[in-house]
Amino acid sequence: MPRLISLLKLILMVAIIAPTAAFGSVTSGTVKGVVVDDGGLPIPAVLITVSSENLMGMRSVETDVNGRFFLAELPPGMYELVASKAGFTKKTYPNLGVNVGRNTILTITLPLQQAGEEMIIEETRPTIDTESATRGSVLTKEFLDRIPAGRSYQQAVQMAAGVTGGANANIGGASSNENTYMLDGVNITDPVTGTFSLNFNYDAIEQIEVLTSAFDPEYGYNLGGSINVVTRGGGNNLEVNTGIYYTNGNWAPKLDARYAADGYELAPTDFDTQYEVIRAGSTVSGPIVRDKIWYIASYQFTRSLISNVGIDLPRDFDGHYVFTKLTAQPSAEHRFTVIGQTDPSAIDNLDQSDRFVKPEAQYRQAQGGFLTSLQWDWFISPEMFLETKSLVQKSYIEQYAVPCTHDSDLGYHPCEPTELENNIDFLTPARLGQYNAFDSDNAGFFLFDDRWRMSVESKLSLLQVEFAGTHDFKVGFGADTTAWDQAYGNSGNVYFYDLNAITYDPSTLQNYYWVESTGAYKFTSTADHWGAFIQDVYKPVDNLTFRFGTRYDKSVLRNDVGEEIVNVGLWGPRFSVIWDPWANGKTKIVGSAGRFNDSGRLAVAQFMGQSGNGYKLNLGEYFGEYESPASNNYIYQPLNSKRSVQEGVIAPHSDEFSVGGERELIQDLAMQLYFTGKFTRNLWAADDLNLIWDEDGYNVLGSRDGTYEQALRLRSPNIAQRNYFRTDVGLQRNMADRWAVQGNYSLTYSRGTVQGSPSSVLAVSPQVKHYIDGYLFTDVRHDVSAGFSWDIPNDPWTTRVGGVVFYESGNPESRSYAGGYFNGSSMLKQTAGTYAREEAWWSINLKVDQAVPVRTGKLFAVAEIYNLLNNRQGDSAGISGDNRWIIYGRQNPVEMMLGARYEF
Amino acid sequence: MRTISLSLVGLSLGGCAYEENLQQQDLTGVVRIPLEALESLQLIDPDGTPIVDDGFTLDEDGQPVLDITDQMGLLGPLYIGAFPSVETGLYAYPHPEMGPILDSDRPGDTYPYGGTTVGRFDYACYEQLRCKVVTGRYTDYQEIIDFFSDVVQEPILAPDGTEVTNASTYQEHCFTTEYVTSDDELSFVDDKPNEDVRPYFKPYFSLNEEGTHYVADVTIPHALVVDGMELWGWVDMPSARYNFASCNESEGDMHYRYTEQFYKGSSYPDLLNFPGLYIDEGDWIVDEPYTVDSADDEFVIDFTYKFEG
Repeated sequence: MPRLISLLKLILMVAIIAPTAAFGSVTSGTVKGVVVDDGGLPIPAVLITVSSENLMGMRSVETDVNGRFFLAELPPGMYELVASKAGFTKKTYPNLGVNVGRNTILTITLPLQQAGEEMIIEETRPTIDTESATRGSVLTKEFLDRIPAGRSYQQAVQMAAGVTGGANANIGGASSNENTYMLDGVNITDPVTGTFSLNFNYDAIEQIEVLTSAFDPEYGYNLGGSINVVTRGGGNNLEVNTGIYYTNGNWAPKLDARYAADGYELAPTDFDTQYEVIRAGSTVSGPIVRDKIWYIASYQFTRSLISNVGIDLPRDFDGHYVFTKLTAQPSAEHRFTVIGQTDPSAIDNLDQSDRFVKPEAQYRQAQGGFLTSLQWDWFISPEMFLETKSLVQKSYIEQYAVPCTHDSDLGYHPCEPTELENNIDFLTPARLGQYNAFDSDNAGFFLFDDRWRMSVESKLSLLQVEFAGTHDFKVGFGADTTAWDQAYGNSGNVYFYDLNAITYDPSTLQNYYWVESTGAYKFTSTADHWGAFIQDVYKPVDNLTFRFGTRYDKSVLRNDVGEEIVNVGLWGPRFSVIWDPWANGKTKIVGSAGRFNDSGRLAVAQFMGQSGNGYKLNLGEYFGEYESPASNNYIYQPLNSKRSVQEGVIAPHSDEFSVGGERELIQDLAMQLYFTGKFTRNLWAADDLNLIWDEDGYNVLGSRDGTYEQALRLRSPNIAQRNYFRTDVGLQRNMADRWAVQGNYSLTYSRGTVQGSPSSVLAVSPQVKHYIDGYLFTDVRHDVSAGFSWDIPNDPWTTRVGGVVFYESGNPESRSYAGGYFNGSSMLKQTAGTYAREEAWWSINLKVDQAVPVRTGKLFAVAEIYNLLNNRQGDSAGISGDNRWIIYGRQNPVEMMLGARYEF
Repeated sequence: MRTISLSLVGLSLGGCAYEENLQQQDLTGVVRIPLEALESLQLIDPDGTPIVDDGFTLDEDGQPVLDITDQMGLLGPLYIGAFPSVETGLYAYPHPEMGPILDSDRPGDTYPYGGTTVGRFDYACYEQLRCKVVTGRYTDYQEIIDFFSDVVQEPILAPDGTEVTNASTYQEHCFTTEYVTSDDELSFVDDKPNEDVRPYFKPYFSLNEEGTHYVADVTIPHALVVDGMELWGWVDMPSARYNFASCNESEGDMHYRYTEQFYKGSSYPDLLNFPGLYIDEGDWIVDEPYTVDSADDEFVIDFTYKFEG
């Protein structure tokens, strides 16, 4: 009882000193277990000591009267564990893996000692965590180093069951905007789009935890999953890792690419696309003061030249990723971690959707940002920890004309003779082509977009509390504030539309209308969140675990004029039970249920923006005297945004249920079988309070107030929902005895009224919900992701081989139509159930990593082959304004990466 | 205790429909058009010779050939609106109450609370078909071809002037010009809608059991519900030369393929605000509007008044 009182005091203290929220912050793992003698009787007072390159100093603990030991808050990585007691044989586990968010559970048998005897257990990597219900994967550095993952954490997370999609993954049937991205436990999710917001050197990663379902309240809330990247921490030895990698997708024979980006059929000679990437980076880590202050500094340069099908000018990406981390542990009780990150990048020739874009009309996108975070870990006792973090992050996106160049060989935006190199033209109006006319003269718009996030959070852990069993309590508080500043305008405040209306001849241009704007459009949206959670891991007996808790989150979103758009409180109760029926750590049966929420993003707030600039449409010769009812609106009128929010709007939420189990088949190789059901309701949408539509939502028949303008209202209707069911079968073996495997097959059934919640809201009207929201067709999907690695035992010329296989049955693609009333400019229609299914997407990727003996350090030659076998599936597709299928990009025929890495 | 805990968790997770307290609600019911609407329809050819009369197509000698009372393509779109009230005396037929007349060239606005259609103009892969083909009236391409050949007696002509006689030609043209890959995209009537892939059951007309009315199920989505508001509307019946007054040939999606360029037509955007501008001779109008007392009630709207001009 005194401990409980102390706990309450601490909770109160944390609440006072850190009125903050926990939005998902787990960066450590746990080693626990029991020590028994030959007869299975527990041995008390056995000294358990762990050490690691990732742990400052050593941590040790003695087993209790029941032979149990417990070591928490261990940085993930490879550990050596030693169990010793006088009179018993000393036992050493030199290669014990500790994974983020997981328990490594051991049963250590210590025989009575024979003279001088010591047992070394070289390889044991328990796969099954019999106290965790969390679904997902932990990708360790040793596995990531061995598989071809494109040197990208976004690509690596595709290995987990239930994860599909591209760089911004779809997890558990949710949209790519509904995940949480964390870096060392701090939330780095883009506050506007809900996608990842930064890049860094792949070699700085220690582990990636992918949480797909059934995660505890401490991980936060979202409708999708969480991706928690934990970086390396330094070490007591100076280490340098330098590598250069070149990828080429051009050398392989090209297969078909029937349609260009604009939807027109290509001549055979147009099929080639360009695909080249070079990455060079270096990571330095080591001690400033041994076991006291560590550092890691990492830099990566990336340059890529990639073109879409039928596009001449490649998308030219230059990125500089800098990551630094300083860890200081002045005493055994306190540890401080400071992280700094920046990733300035630029993409030239951004527009790869249309081949009728002249170089001077191409865009540059400058992007990047910086992040600083400070974390304080207070190890109050071996069972009590206080973790406090703060974060400041800025990310930005800027778009404007590609800076001009006098280098005519480059083919990029040419400078005028008197123009300075790298000048950016904000003044010349653009000419936008329609129906095969060229975009020319200049880029049509400029954009400056800044996104800020500041957060503080604190979490108290009180573990191994004895009360009718054992309890691991955690309680946390947190808050963050985010802001979105944007300025948007048209070059020279005017843009012309040109129409190639005469023949199929791009040189035949006929200007037919132009638009004048009054200047740049600016806005600022903000959001504040705070939340708290409490959870307990309760073990009434050794082989049964209950995990339960809840979190409450408050979210307030404000639009550009400071109006409160969303003010919601979100409860997220979660419960799991895990049973090890034979109490031997080889099997677990799991059931879980929980509610997950979505508080909305800044894009949701800005959807309700009230300000805007006026613009004027000038109809050209093409129209003669004709004016449409829609064009009557184009007369210098400020954006009279008739937008509102439904009173008492609630946030989208998902109720998830999962059952399944895992069983170790052979040593450290486990099979998994899970069933997951997810019911998501009240997704963001908007309805129209003014316009009245025909039965198909295609033509406007009238308006309630006689103005024929949209009056959108934000709401989260009951009809906006998704139902999702998934069966997973998996195999998992952590790296041991030189090999590892991780494979998953998922069968998914999903149905709903929306295909996914985009970054903002569905800017559509339930008046025509059957079409605009687009019923999520019943979809049955098969997904396979499997990776393996094998270290061929030929030291010191060790050859490491890794491979990955992906298979996804084809995506359904809904057709979109331009609605009659808006003449293709504003409204799209998606007819219920009218979709075509793409072909299945699959590929096999291989990696060979050859160690070359050198006098000092280690040298590796690396070769990775992507899409070794594939079907050239279009990996991005859409519909053009005139209702054409567009294949924006396809799988590269074969992509080869060659590289060299040096470490010492 | 554990059972209780589980039950509490289950209760806390149990989903309850969110009461949105919306003023806008979907109204559902049926519309009925008397058989007489087609029996009394008259069409003429360019020379003014009757080709449809008394419920039959006519041959060159004026003799009845084909019974047209099952040719739903002759029923133009039904426009239904929810209005504050409907008055007589404004026009020669019952008409929604109007607001002040602000423009001498236009009548006053009726300010509808909501509305919808039964059918809309579509299928115009050929210029000849713009504003002439209404959705929810045909089962496939061939039926459209036959309709224009046998009933309207103006066979569909391809851009090169050849007559389109089979469905595959029509379908291929829609694919090559508009990339239409699925018949669903053209909203053909489906007698056996598959709820899995097509949850929205499109309304279409059928003769009632008594053989007296064409009947269709209708949902008026998202209407602003006001006690006592009245449901009123009209059927835009084809003119003698098979044109529809409610369709604007200069609007809608643009069909673009090399030299084939035309707008595919769309309904005028103020059909419910100013219905009097578009109702013309031969249209069937609701004579006795349905008064909405509760949004949950199933309405029945009868189009009983034929406007004779």
